[in-house]
Amino acid sequence: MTRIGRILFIAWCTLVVILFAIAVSNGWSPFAQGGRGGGGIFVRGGGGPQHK
Amino acid sequence: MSDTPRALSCPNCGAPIVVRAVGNTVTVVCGNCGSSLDATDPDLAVLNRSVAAGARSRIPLSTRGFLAGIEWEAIGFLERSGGGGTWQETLLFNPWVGYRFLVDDGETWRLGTPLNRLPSEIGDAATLDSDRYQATERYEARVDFVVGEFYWRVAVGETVDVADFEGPGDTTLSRESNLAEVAWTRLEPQGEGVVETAFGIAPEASPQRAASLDDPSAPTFNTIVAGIATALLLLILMFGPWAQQVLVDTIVVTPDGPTVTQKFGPVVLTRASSGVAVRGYAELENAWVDLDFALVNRANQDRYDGSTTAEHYRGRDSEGEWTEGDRGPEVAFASLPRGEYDLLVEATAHVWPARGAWDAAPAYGETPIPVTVEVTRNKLFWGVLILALIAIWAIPATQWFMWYQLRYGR
Repeated sequence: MTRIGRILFIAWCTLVVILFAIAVSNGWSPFAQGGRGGGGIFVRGGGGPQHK
Repeated sequence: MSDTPRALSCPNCGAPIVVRAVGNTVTVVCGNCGSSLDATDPDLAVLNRSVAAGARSRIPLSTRGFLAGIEWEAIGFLERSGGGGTWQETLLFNPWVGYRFLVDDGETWRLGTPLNRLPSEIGDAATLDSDRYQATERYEARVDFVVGEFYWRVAVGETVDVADFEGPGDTTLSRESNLAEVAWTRLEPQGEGVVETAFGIAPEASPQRAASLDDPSAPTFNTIVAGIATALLLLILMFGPWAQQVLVDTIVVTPDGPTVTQKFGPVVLTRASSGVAVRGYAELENAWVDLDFALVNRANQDRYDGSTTAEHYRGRDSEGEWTEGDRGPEVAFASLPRGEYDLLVEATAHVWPARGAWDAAPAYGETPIPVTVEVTRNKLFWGVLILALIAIWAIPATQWFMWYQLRYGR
């Protein structure tokens, strides 16, 4: 791997770690159903089993 | 150059020695005892007595083969190490063309041509014939094993500083330097099976090809970086806000009865921004409870909604017993602002099979179902961690896969 490739990978991992720290600190998740920034898809269950 | 080989014997062990590149060869290493001999001395003076030990060339010395339309003879063999790996070099000779190297790094054969002109080197880049080469690695290379004849003084233990440059079409430049000289070599990868066919050697993997993961071509650097990044993620989890249950209460709902609405609270969020999880749990069987949650900020009436269904079913069919459903589902709220919140819960319960639709008796009748409502603040969302791990490990994992395919997938 070239030196520039290594530097880019270090930069990418640093970015991921920083974004993760921000997400943990702010309780953010793209998978949350509600709240700010939450957008998880919710499909209501009920109505009986899906078992066939 | 002379093409008449000269037959001599090793002054150390008496083994016969043939010097093929007479007039060019400076050093001959006895294939029997490993002694380095001075080929410029008519009596082959011993330069260095050493025991021949180590790897053997895949191309036996004196073997001839055609590469790029030229007939070459293997006259010398080196095993070298450095930069975390080992590789083998076979010196090829043709009396009318000169010398070439065949470098086997355990993955690819490369044909090396010694350059008779200097590439221009600026910073980490080198330019040769208007092609730009980027520096990739710098390391010290050591001769671990040597046999045959060479046009320079060579002995086990000799070291040189190596800088590798990657250029177009997988071509590389290698600069080897010591206190006395600098030598540049241009290396071109050879197609699969080309060298084996040219020299009539077995295509099976050499011992080096089954080498361990310290192969310099393995993506160990990225793996180490990804490992450090993963450790940092775990540290962030340790020192980040810990989940805390702040409310546990119960709402009771009657199957097929009216919707029950109840307010709980306050739920106090102390951080500027918090993740919150609301869970509803009901010990039910063949029934479901629709749950609508709303967190309402007391200060400004901002409202955050979420819904879920607690359900569990059990039955029997031709394949035996089956169960399905989640009695305690959870709704996640992301990044709620600091403040005091009321939790509004709307619950509606039903049984299965539905009344009137089946002859079977309802499983629950009119027995009320208590639903436990739990609120946890500073909730850690595992999905974010999994996302981060995928982002970090996708590249090294792909590289390892490709490395494995190249090495063992042939």
